[in-house]
Amino acid sequence: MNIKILGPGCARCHQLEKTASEVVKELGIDATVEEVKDMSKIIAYNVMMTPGLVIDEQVVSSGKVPSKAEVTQLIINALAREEPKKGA
Amino acid sequence: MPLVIELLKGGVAALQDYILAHTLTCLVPAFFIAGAVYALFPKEKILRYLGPDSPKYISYPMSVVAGLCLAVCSCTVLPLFAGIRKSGAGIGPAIAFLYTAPATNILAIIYTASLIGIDFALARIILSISFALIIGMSMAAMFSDKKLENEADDPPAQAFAMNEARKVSNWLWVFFALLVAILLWGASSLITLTVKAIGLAVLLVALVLVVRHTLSRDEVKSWMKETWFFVRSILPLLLIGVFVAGMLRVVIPADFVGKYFGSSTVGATLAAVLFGVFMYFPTLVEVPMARMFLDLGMGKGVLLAYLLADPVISLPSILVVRRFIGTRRLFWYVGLIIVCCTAAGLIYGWVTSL
Repeated sequence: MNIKILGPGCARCHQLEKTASEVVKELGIDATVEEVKDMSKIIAYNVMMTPGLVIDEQVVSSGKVPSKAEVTQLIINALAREEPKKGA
Repeated sequence: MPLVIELLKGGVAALQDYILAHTLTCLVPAFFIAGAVYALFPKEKILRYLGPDSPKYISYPMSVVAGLCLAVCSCTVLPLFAGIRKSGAGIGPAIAFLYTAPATNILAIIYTASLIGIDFALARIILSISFALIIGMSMAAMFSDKKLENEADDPPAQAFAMNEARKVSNWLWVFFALLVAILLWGASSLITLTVKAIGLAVLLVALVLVVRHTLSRDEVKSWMKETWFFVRSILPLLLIGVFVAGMLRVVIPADFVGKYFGSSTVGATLAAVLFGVFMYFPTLVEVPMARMFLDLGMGKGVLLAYLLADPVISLPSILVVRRFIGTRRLFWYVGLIIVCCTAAGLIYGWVTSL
């Protein structure tokens, strides 16, 4: 699973990155968390309001810092989406 | 040694003045308002009007509203600008937004009203909005909307992949109105203290009732979180700014300021604008700086010119914007800003001297 935090580097973006990393650790899943600060890349995702949260190249949140519970739910949703693809 | 002590005394005196007069009545409600707008203002309602099919008489005002209400945090200005641009609204509304957002920062306006005067704050908002529209429309007229090579070719429709669209209750607007009422009532110098206290109590009770009726627990938590975020990130810098302005006030000779910047000459106004355009101060710090200049004898028109020019652009942000609109358009954008702010300063100076 690939998680990207979109933002030019302001404090909210760092907070989201910390939250996401914590959730990944707590869930014990195999995921990379990276911050995307390049403006042109951020815009390529069509995110108008930073911070943006992208899981496996899908924008799941933008314009706010989701709480830890919300991030957890978003990641779990993404995991559920992955499951059928990995099927037999 | 004596100079250092004078400097420190100047800084401390400024802080004392400031904390007494402004924190409770002005900044506390202002932070709550900023937090509420950031957390709860229905963004989708505004962004919906900035799409490719919006006629100009909608997309321009809406981009100004977006600048007023959506970009409370300055880091989101550029992605929003790019999004508006890509969505087909065109360079005009996008530039209008780009100008409005930092120029009408809610906290800065409230603080300007409190520290310098309501007349300045009103002038700041009205003129900033007017300039945003003028500059936006001029840029749209002057340049064809040729996209630069580094802009991705994503279909415009995707630009509005928003979060769940929430139904907006009318009570939400009542909530915002109450917050503003509390700010205005508390900060007003026209009412006696007892009347003020009673009125505030009434307004606060009303606020609590409306909040319980309208906002979910998550929303209230969100609001508080954002408010605290603003306090945490802005207040320390602000206090430092006040302290430094207090120190500078000791050092900068008043007659120098009075002599060269006291009256609204073209030279003084232009110099103030250039200083504002190229100097970088953190958000809100331009206000105590302006207050200091005012106390040292700077003319009102010159001061307004500085206040209008400072937040809008600075060397760091100029460089980033350049990547989006190209050097030639950037040159015109900055040029238009300088002209408008100088003109505004001269007009204001002339009007207030009548």
